[in-house]
Amino acid sequence: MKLLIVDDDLNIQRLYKEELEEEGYDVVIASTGKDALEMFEKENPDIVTLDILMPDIDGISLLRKMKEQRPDIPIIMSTAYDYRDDFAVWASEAYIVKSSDLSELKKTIEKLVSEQK
Amino acid sequence: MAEATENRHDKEMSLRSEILIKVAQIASSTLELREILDIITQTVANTLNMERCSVCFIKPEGKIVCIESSRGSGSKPVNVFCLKNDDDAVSTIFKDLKPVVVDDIRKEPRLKSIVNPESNGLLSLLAVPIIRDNAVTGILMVQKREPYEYTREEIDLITIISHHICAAIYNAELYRSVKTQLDELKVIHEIGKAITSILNIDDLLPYICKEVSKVFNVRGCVLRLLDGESLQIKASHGLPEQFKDEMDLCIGEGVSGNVALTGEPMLIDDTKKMPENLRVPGIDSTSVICVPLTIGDHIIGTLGLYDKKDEWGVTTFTIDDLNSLMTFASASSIAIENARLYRAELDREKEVTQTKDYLKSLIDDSADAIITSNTDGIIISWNKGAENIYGYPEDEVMDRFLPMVPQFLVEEEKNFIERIRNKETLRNLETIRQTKNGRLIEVSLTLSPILDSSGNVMGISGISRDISEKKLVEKELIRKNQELSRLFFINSVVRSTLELDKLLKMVLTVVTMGDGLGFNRAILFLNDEAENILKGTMGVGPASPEEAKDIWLAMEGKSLGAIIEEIESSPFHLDSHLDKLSQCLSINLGGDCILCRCIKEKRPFNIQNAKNEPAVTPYLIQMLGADAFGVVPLMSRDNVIGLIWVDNLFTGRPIKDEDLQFLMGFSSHIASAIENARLFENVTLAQSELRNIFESISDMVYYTDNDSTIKRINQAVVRKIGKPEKEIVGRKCYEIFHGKKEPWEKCPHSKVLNFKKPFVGEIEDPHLGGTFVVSNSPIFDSSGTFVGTVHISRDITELRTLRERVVHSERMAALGELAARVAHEIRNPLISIGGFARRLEKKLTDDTKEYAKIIVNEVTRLENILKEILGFVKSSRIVKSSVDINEMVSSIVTFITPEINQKQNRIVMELFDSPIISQIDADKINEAVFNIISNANQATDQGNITVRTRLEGNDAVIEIMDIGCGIKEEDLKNIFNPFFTTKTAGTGLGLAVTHKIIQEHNGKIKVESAWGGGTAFRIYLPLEGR
Repeated sequence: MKLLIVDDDLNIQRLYKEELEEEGYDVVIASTGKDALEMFEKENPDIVTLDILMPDIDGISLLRKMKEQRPDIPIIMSTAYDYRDDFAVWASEAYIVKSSDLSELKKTIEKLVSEQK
Repeated sequence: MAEATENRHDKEMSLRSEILIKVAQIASSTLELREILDIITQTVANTLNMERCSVCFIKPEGKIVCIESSRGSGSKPVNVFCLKNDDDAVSTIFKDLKPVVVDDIRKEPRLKSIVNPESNGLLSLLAVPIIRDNAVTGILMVQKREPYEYTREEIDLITIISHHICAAIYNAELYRSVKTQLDELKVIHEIGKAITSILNIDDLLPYICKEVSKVFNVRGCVLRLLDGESLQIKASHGLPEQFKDEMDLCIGEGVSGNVALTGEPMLIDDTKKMPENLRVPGIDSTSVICVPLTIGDHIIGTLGLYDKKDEWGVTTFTIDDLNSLMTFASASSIAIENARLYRAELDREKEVTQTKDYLKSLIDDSADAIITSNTDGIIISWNKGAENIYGYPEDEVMDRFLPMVPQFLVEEEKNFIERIRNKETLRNLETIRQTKNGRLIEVSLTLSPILDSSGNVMGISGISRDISEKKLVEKELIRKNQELSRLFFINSVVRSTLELDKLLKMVLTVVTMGDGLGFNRAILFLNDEAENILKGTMGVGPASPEEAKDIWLAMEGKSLGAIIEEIESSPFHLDSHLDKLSQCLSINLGGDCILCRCIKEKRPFNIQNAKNEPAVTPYLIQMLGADAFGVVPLMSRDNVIGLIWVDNLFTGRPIKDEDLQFLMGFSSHIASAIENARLFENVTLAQSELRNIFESISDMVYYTDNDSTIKRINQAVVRKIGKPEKEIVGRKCYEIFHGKKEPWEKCPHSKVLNFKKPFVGEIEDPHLGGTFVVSNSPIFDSSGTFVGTVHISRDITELRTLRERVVHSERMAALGELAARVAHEIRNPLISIGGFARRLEKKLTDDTKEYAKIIVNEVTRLENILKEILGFVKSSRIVKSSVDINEMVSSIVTFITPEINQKQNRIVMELFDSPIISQIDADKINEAVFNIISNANQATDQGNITVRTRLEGNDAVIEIMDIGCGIKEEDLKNIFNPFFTTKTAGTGLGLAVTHKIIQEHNGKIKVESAWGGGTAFRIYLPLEGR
């Protein structure tokens, strides 16, 4: 099971990678929007988590482009903001508020994985 | 003895017969009653050998019986005395109507008084009543000196005699009455004769009164004559002076008034019994008679008598009196009428004489010639005026045919005479007459027929007046008048319209019209000072001789006024041939052409031959085709504003200098009219511009006078006030705009009124419902007197709300930006810190595991603060549902109680009696109230916090009161600002979030606090749907 984590913060990348690999997932990381789109194509991930605030391409645009290519791959939106009132994020399968406590993220991934099987 | 008795009897019988015959003879004689009685008593006394025979009559007034006649046998008169009728004998006679016989008086002491033995010693008596109409009117008595027994025969005889006496009395009364009446009538006749001979009414009326009073023997007499409705006293007799003026009556008023009304005479025996309506205050009379004075059926007045007198005093009037007075009144009426007629006749005669005198002097003194002639024109009279005018003295013209008619007019004159013979009157003929010295004069003549009493023409009267002089003056006057009226008309025409173009057209029309100045063509040039040129503006006149003919033919019969009116009422065009031609003309004022000179030298020019005049440019001759023309400057005061160019191109009539002079005089009127019109045009334009601006200003603009009365308003005022203009103008400004009964001290206008300087102020006006910036400026008239105020009022209510909202949203936006940056910059490091700390915590097993846990907890706390900040920034939707505020407050209190107890405070709940159901977002309001209670708890130490719910108007109110440290005054205004906090711990967002929540519910939050005195927060939430 391969997860693509898109986040520009190196520490967060590492935190996610370690925590999620411990859970048994295959984790690939993209730091920019450009990288994220490349890896989305190349790595063929099963689930994607997207930070909405990105330095080059924002999370919403990434979400749209990814859904255009592979609408079947579930995407989790993850950000410091509570964007749930925003119509755009509804296109994603899940939405979480970023927190140092990753239990919510892990539960969400598990749920999506079980839905995929 | 028997024979002797027989003889005596016979003798007695014959004696008796003798007496009776004698008595009858006496009684039927026409002698006076007294005489009859004397003879009878004498005869009885003598014949019967009685000591006395007497007759008494009853005088009812005095109730006494007086001896009327008494004779003794010695034919000597016996003393006359009276008997009292209460004497027994007398009363017996009266009562029984029977004779009383007394043989010896000494045996009848009760009859002493009749017999009166002391004086004459008569001892026997026979008294017989004289009976008339069953009543005693008198007594016949015979007496003897010695006691005597009266025989039956004697008693009968005396009784018979008493009947005779009675008859004699009756006869005598009749006689006297007839005699009296005759006397009266004789007097009346005499008076009648007298009064009809008095012709002066002023003498007549008093005479009537005096005589009638005398005849009827009355206390007073009043003669009234009718004058319209009023009965005026014209004469009186015996009437107290002071009443004369006061006693004029109206018809129907009093006795006289009644008589005058009905025409019936009245007799009133006793005025005390008179009906109330007849009474007239004044004369205190007892009895009255009053008769009308009439002429035919016509009542002219009344004649009234009052209080008839006789020898015993006042007595009553009889019908005879009334009849006599009637007779007298009719004689008087005739006399009065005669006197009146006589007076009228006198007056008329006087008038006629006066009129005659007046007419005569009129004729004599008249300056006019007044001449009368017979129907052949032969003069009968000739007054002084005629002599003065025609020069002939009276004696030269009498009996001649009208000498002043000139030979050539004699036929016409005969014609006139013929017409007058047919009763025609010829008035104010103007004709020619010739004076004695042969001079012909103009006269005004009025000829009228003189009619005799049967209406036939018997002569002619002629009044003539020399009007030669007048004619001359008149001709001059007509000329002057025509000139003046033309000028006046032109002037009034040019001033009657203020439309410049029409005015100019009229001016030129006046210049070209025959009734006006009569030029063929006229062109107007106006100065264009900016370009320094003289521009042709318009022209009036035909284009060609053919057109000229047509136009002038069409004009014939039309007055100038009519044509001017036509121009005035029809739409204006500037497209005639001459208009177009003139508009092509433009002359540089810098040159020295004749038109420029006219302008510069301000004088007219009359060019007779243009070709020979070097100042006339060929251009002008070519354009206008005129060899001769005139130009006249148009001057308003000293300003030359243009010129008028005139010619007579088609008629070729030379232009006279006088014509130009006239035009010149006229031009100043035209110029000032043009200036007026220009000014008017400018003013109209400016006015309408101003009006437009005034009306379209969206601010309220209005004027008031110095007493705050609104004089004028713009449309914005009408819209804002919501009433038509007429209901606003004329009212007080403070009434209309502020709903006050007197000037409002908050309005800057009140300062303007006080200081007479402009003021600007922002006022919150509950009457109009909003906030207004009001600018007030005083208006002063030219003499510097304060006459009013101009108000400009702008509604800034919306602006202010908008401004507030902008400030708030700017603040929010700034906060949002800040929050986003904080989130981005802090959150990620926090996630890393927290995340790895968790990993550490999992991996560590020793004491350090505890440290990792602390880090995790602290990061979690920081993350929560971040969440709070983001929650404030983020706009979240309100989801309302029906909530019982009481219930909500209870659950908050339950939830927060542990926290409060921790600080050793106490919370007190005072909830409204019944549930307060409101449509709110329960979670948000919960948060808001929680924040406030939480703050209260922090500010309070060991004190009470009171939470109260109640209703106020349409709001649910939640009050949170503490007795804590309170809020400083300078901090109060900031407490709802985000990040404002006085606490050492906390974000400073609590109250900002609370405020935001309440605002989102369209509610209000109020705070009341004093430093050290506790704080009260009140949340007002509208009860929607209630």
